Amino acid sequence: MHELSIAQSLYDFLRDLAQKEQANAITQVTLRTNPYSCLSADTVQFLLRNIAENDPLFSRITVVIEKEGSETERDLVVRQVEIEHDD
Amino acid sequence: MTIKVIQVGENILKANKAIAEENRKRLNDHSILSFNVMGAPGAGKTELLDALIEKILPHKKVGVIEGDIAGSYDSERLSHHSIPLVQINTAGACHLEAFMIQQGLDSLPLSSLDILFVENVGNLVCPAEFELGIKMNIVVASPLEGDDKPAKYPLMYKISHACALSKMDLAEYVSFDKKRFSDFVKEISPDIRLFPLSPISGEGISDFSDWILAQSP
Repeated sequence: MHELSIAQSLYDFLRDLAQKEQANAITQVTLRTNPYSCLSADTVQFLLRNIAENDPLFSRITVVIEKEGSETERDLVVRQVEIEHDD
Repeated sequence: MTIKVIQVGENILKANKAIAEENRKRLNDHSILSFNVMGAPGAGKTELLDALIEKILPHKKVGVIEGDIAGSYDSERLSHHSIPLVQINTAGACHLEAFMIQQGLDSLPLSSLDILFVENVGNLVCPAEFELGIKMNIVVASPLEGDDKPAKYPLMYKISHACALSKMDLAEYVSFDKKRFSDFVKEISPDIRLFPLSPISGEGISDFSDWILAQSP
């Protein structure tokens, strides 16, 4: 269940980003990792919502994982984040 | 309400990667050759280390970091070698992370080691996803797992420099096609070194320990 430590790191990063951007909600995060990675988007999404508990910032978040690039690199890159904020 | 898309490019594992780089530098500074030994539970990682250490000890000073979710059975099993040995319990985590290796290195006499073996938590998925700062990766497999495991867990084989196909003395008792296993391994990782061996019969142990020693600078 390596998704748990990843979801915790991702939560910390996204919460800081959302505060900086004055977001009301984070609707999607797109990650990029190794094409052979076993990382499950559904599991990360489930854990992220549970770590955030009742935080409305994360209640509708969708996690997308693109598996591409170097076959031996083990980075997990936050490529893109979609947020909602007031006009 | 406005929707905004932000392009980021941040490595979420950068904290682990930074500590892994520190571990790598620390081991290099002490001229220690390091091996991350991975494989499924019961593949025979500790049994193989036991046999390898026996072969290598006359030539090199060896230390071990043992990673397990709980317990110290593996380190107890290796304790008869009277070598520096650190047991790490991950308290539920399915893999070792770089900070755990950092803590392990803090407890080892680095100045008096030539080779460090890290035995990762038994698992064919998670240990492959985390950099530790260890130079060489070894995957230990056995005929009891079945010959299709390289195809099912490709990242583990992709990142490994050597595959120890252990417990070959049991191959005749199970349905295991060595050629099929080998073909899968070579398809995923053409440069990987494959060592069929058995710590029980002694088959292949010398070849593998020679390969280990040949990696020394």
